[in-house]
Amino acid sequence: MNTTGKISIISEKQRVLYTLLFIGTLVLYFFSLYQLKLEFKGGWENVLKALSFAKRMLLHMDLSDWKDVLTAAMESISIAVLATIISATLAFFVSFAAASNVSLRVVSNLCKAVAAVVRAVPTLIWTLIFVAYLGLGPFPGVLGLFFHSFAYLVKAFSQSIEEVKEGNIEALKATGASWVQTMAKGVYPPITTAVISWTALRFEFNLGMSSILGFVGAGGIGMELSNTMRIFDFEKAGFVVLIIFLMSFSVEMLFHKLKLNVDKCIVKDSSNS
Amino acid sequence: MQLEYLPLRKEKSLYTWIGVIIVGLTTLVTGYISEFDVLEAFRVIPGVLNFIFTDFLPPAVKAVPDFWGSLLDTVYMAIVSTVTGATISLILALLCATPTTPHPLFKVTIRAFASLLRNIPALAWTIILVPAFGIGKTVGLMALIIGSVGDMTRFFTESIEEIDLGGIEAMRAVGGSYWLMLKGGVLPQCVPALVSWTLYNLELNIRASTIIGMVGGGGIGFFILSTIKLFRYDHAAMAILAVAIVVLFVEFLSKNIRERIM
Repeated sequence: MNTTGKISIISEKQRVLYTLLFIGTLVLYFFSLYQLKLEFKGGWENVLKALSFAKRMLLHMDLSDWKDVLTAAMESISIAVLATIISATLAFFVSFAAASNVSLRVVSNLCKAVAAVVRAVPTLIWTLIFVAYLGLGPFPGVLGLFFHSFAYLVKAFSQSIEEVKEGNIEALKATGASWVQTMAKGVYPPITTAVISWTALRFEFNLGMSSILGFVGAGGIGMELSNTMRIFDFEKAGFVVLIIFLMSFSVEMLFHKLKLNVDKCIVKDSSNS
Repeated sequence: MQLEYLPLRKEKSLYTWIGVIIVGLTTLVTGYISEFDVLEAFRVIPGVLNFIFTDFLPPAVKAVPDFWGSLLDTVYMAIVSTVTGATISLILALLCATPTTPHPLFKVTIRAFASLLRNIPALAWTIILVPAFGIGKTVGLMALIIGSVGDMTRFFTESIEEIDLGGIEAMRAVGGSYWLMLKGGVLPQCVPALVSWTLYNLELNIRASTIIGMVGGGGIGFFILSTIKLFRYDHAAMAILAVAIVVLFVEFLSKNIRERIM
């Protein structure tokens, strides 16, 4: 093939950008890997050990505690559902105050700054703080999940509100509609789908989170997993892991069937989580 | 127009009410199961705020040297797991996505495999792997890579499946090889999406790697957990603050790169 006749698929500027990104990533990667100074003590022996544990977990699964495990699973699911409902409801109202196009600039900036700080601290750390204050149990778990979800959804919802066309709002204002009327008829209808998708996305995340809250003592199925693993009861742990998998998997399948395309929201907006 | 509009609106409001009732009932049932008390939640607010503002703040700056090493480890772990995960996921996604799969059998197997990896949280993977591999960074890194591969394989596959197939068909028609098809037809179209997903995954991993230490996966999580258990809240607060700064910085970086490439 004649090279002079080649048509570049990407622009020169992009080519430079990608090359820089690629080289930067490689340098960063090997530097990090070097700095971590990983040790592989045991090497293959550990892999064989892991396989024998996996065999015990999967092939000799112990279902005798099914009642306790399922109760704990119900508790996890409840924590996730409850935290999602409360945070979505509150975030829905607060997001109108946080959206720059329908709210005062000061209020909007303040809401966004607080939300950004709350979001920057991982959910499990919030839970840990609540556990430290309130003691063990599902209650601090709900609060910890709620705290982070609320900040996350305020940001997500207010971003959707900011995408509402200025014309919608202006047209309603011109008819003499009050602020509440403008929000209800001009802003709420176009964002409904986005609100549902974001809430669904957050629910998936919260469900995953609720199954590990137990590691820090905040109730749910995580407690069962860490208890069984602590005494190396792999047969019982296998069943707990299976239930954790099924919880998350069934929700993923359900949302897939309902065509709540939750992943799409992530790439669409340039920043999130 | 009015006449057509009114009945529709009534039907819609009926659905809204049914929705509200269902959500309300769910709230009550789940609240009962998780022993959530609304009044209690309001009652603890002042206490919690007081606890955070007096016990945690101000953060103890002198604690920085104690956790500096593990904070760096946390960042390194996130970077290594994201890049390793992205590489593995790219190979898996190319084998799995409809336009590029060599055989439909790959599709089913890889989908099931990725689903298994991602539907068990990284923290649970850490707990599962610790008995075999011992406490430390190696286990944390393994768990993070497992989670990343699970997530990114799904995202990458979806991105590859969304591309325009015209170009690929044209390349096939003129006798282009499989590699040429990947290089000239598939990758140029989906690289921005793949980079964007990888950056998103880095944001997730930086969060995950901060908490993975709480269950023995190395990094700053262990410091935070142990200082809180020892009631040295101001030390914990400094570490949490450092985590927040790192997370915000990564988010900022990721957002900037994404805006440039999209």
